[in-house]
Amino acid sequence: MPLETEATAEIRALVADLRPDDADLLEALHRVQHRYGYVSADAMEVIGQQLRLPPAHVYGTVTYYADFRTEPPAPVVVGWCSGPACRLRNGAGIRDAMLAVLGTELGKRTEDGRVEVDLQQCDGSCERAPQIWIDGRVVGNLTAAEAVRIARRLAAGEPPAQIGGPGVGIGAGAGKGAAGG
Amino acid sequence: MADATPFEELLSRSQAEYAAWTRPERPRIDLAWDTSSLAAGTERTHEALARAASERGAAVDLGRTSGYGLQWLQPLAQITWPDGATVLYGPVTPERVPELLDEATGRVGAAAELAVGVLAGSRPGVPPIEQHPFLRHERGRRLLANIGRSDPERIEHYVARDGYFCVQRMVDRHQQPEAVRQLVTDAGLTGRGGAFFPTGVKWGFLAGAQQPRRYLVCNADEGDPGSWVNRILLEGDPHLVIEGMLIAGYASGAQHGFIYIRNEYPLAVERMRGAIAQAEKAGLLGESVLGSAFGFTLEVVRGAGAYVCGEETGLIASVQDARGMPRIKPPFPAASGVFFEPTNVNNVESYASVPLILRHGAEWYRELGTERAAGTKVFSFSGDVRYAGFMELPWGVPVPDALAACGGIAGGARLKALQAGGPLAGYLPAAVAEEMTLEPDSFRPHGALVGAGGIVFVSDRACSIDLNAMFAEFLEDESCGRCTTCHGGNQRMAEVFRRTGRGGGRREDRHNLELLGEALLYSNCVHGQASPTIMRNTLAFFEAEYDAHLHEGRCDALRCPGLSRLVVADQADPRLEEAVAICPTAAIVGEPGERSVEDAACIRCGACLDVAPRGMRREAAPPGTALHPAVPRSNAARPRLRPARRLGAPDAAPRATTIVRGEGGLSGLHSLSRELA
Repeated sequence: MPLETEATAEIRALVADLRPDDADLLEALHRVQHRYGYVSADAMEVIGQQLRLPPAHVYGTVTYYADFRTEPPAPVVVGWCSGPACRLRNGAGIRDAMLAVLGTELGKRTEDGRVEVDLQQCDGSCERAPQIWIDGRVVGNLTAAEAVRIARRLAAGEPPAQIGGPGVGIGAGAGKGAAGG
Repeated sequence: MADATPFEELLSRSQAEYAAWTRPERPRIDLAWDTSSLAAGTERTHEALARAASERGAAVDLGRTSGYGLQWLQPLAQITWPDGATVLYGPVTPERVPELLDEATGRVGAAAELAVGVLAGSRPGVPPIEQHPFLRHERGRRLLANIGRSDPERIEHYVARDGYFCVQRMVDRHQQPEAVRQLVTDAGLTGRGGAFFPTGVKWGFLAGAQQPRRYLVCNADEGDPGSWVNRILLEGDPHLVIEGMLIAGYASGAQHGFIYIRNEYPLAVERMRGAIAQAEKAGLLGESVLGSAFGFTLEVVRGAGAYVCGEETGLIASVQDARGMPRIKPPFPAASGVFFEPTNVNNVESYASVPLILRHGAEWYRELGTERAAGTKVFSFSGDVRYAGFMELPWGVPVPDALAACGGIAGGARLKALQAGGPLAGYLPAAVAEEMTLEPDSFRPHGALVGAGGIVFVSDRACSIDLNAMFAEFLEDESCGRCTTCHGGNQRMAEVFRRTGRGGGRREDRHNLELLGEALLYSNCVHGQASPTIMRNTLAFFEAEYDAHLHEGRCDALRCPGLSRLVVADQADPRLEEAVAICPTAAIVGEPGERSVEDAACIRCGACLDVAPRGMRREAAPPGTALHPAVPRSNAARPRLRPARRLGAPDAAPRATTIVRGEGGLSGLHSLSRELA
């Protein structure tokens, strides 16, 4: 067992109420990732001790699920929706355009380490397809051209909060249902 | 007279609160607060509304509800006036806040442009919401009865609208668990995850288990892309799910339940956890439900991004501190589930249907639907339609009617295919879909499934091979990796479609796909067994399109990156300069008047077309056209295990398979696999 440090003590406190054989492993991992942005090797050991699981079991679980990270996220995280409604509206073009501008691949950081683009799953806000998330904020009704502009602004270091925003493109072609019946 | 019981106290408190909510002392504006409205920026609308109201000193209150289903009109808002009238408005962007506020404070007609329909009472000039074209095939909302008519975060609203009444009656009268199960069976309720196994019968398996410790699991790992039926119920009416699980626990002798919610639904997790805490406080959950001998507790388990956890044994593994890898059945969960104790897994919608049956009876439930599929079903509609959203339909609505309610295919295109039920369930052409109805029996003869309610309409601008590549990559990514048949098979399937789209399809690929379609049926679980469904549908119904890609290198939809290219169509288009500037790979070269596209640099993203739709054009790529090496990118960043190779000789193709019909789970794919075999 590694020596207790301030960091491990903090993680221990975070999961202190969780018990072995009580369906708590995912909860422990979520809490740690929520607090630190990722699940470190130290955290895996501490969680293993708390839930009486070998660290290898915890590691196996962390790496099995798409949503757990073993390394900190980039300062700016762009999520790309891989769902069918987005795909039908040039979702693949949007992905390729952003990746080309940023010079990276899905799941990897840009060379300067500032931005990463991750694959995300459909959450059923398909009326806004095609969409991406910038630090969790939906930017919808995109085009490939708009994706290029967004990626360029991100690459230039513009604060992500100023880019896009909920409701981008709202009203563009969104008529009232009564007219369309 | 005896003192009021705790439930009677809760009921009278709830009725008072809800009466005040439906007839407020001063107008109240409720914003839809759900994943879809948040994506539309409802938080900004709320901010603007709060600011404007305080600046004006307007006598209005602000509240929240959940979106009514017309998602393209988000952010949706409702005004409730002291006379009890409630009107739905949308899209209420921050710019439209003044109109809404005017309307709320008495300038009748100020927000007429935004009015969608009347939810309660009446308002001159605004039709009842039921008459809205999008909702014209609904026959009364049952599962969604509280959506837009309550605050999902108030247990009092749920109780005032008949909630938990039948739980109270059930424990007070010591109803026989068997009678409760029989009622559910008589109603004809079948598993809404897509397997359509009779729910009451399934509970009987658990009730008959030897071990006293038993679990319920609610499968809210709604991973099918394009499906968000469970999310509506979890976010919009969490207590309905809790009540359903309470009844199921009583009827099957379970003491504890897990609600497994996918990580993509953070608001659903929050709402369910909040609702559980409220129900505990009200004595509805705990060691003694409403003071009876029946004890039942619930907890939420938050998933972490693994589609295959929607398969019931994968879900169970995920709940009990492990990787969510499905295992071979039997043993079925009713014999060995969570922590190896007897377990019953049902979909969110299955549980949510149960309180309605207990409240109104089996006959009432069967009034809607068809002879072979009783009741209603919530469907989510998306894709190339004008209006995306959800509806609660009785089983049996014709597919063309549903499409027409969604405003038809957008942009003057035509319906090409119906993609229902997620990546495992099917892909049917317009000619077939137009003859079909939305019910399980209509899909099965075509080798497809209706699934859990996600309906994606595909227009003729889409390419079947491109969509197959997308679904195959999804299935490859989401294979748990336990059985080689599934993870290797789906890798090969993804490779075949990827190279076909690049123009590198091989003559033997057609045979390879057929072989894969049979080999995958030997996978351990439904993920692998059903993974070739869309591919099989494609070969059966879109053979000419596949052959055109393979033999002629032709993609008529101009979607496949290796079979199409972008060219300059009009040198005189002034917007061509913008196209040059927007191109992420600087592939448009040459001086003005002599612009051309360097094929090897172009990634076919179409950004140039977006800015210069006249100056640029997609066209078929002649054989030998150079292609940027990055195209098409694979979804997964992780390296592939090994390059493509040929599968076994034709004679080695398996001829028969025995796949045991499951008792439910992710979907009814066991039975489909068997039929396809």
